[in-house]
Amino acid sequence: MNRGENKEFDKQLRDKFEGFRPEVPKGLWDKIATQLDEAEPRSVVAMPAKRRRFPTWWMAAAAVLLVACGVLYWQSRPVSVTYLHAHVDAEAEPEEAAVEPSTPEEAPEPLAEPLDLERLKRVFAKKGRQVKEPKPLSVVEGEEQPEEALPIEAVEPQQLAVNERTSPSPILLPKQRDSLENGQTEIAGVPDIEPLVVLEDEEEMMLASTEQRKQPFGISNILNYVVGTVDQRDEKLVTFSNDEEGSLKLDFNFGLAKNKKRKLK
Amino acid sequence: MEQTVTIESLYEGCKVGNRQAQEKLYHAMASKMLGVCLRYASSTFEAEDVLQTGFIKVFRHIDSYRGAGSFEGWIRRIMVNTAIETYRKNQRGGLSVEMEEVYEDTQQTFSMDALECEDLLRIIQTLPDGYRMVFNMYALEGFSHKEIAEALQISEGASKSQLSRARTWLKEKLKQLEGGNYESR
Repeated sequence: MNRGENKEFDKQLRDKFEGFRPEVPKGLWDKIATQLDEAEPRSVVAMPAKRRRFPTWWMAAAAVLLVACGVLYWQSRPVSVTYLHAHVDAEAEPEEAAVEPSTPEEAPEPLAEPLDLERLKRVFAKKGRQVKEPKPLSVVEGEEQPEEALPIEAVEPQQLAVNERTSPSPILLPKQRDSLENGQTEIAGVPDIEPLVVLEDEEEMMLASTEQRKQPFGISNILNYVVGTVDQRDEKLVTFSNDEEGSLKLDFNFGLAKNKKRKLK
Repeated sequence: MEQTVTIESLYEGCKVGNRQAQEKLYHAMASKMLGVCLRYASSTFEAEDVLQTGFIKVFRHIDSYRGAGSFEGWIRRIMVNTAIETYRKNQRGGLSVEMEEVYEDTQQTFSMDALECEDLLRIIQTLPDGYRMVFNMYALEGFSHKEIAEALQISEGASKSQLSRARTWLKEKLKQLEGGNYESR
């Protein structure tokens, strides 16, 4: 069989089939149309499929947030309120026991932070009470000594009077000189400074405890900011907040999640 | 030519997903394309399946037609490619023993005028799948052996060999069908 014969054979077949028009089954177009209709919803369904990725994002974001919360909680745990309470407890009780044994009605006062006004009152009250102890230091000079505790304002004029009387000349007494040499001029001049310093320390410590309690608010704000960047709706699916004790609260908006499901349907 | 113009004009409608345009294109082309599919398929059922899949591809990927050739030629090529995919998907073993027994030294040529396309088709469909694919692609579609080898993942030599044997097989079968209705050179 040569090449020409083959070409002829192929051409004959080609020509024969060129006009070949077999009957097409009638239902075939309906099948194609149905399949095309199915294809179009598929592209519409592809939208929810894309939306379905959103919860995946949420899951990832939630996982990151949980890890972040865990890390932040763990880091903030040693400096937590619990430690400070314990610290205040340890100091406050002996102090109160030592300072005011004569006033038992004030002793059982709780450690919980009182109002600022009350706290100031207590501070000043302690100040007044403690003036008693430094008094003997200033009375070393042997002047008349009032037994009851005096307020600071009452003590100072008296001390000034004593100083005027005892040191009208620039020559210092030997005891006074000793105290100056020891760097205790404050004790000689202002008898109630030492207790004041002690009380200020305590006050700073108490203020420090309130400042540290504000820290968790910053964490919740950061978390809310992160959620806000992911979820830009007015109502957020997840919101963070801190309670009075500094615990982190996570509020999940179930209503919003349900509405979202309805929209998807 | 008129039909070609109509088909080309239907392209725009099909491109925007107009269902009426799609249906018109289908009705204009379905019969001719079924003829192509029947040559490649081993059965009418398979050919209809290829036609359906082919038209879905045409409508879904109509954007990929760049107007380089005729729109009809593009549709035909999609049908052929779909038939090749179907063949590769349902590849049914190698060559049959029958093909090895064909006597190749046939020195006859045929006048096919008296034959109906359905008869010719029936003979072609009896060819082993691989041979039928090569014969269709080379003799009736004009592919080169290189293209056939790539499409069917066979060697060019195998393509040539299968084409030769397919021709011999077909001639033998046609001779048997026509009886004395052939002329000798």
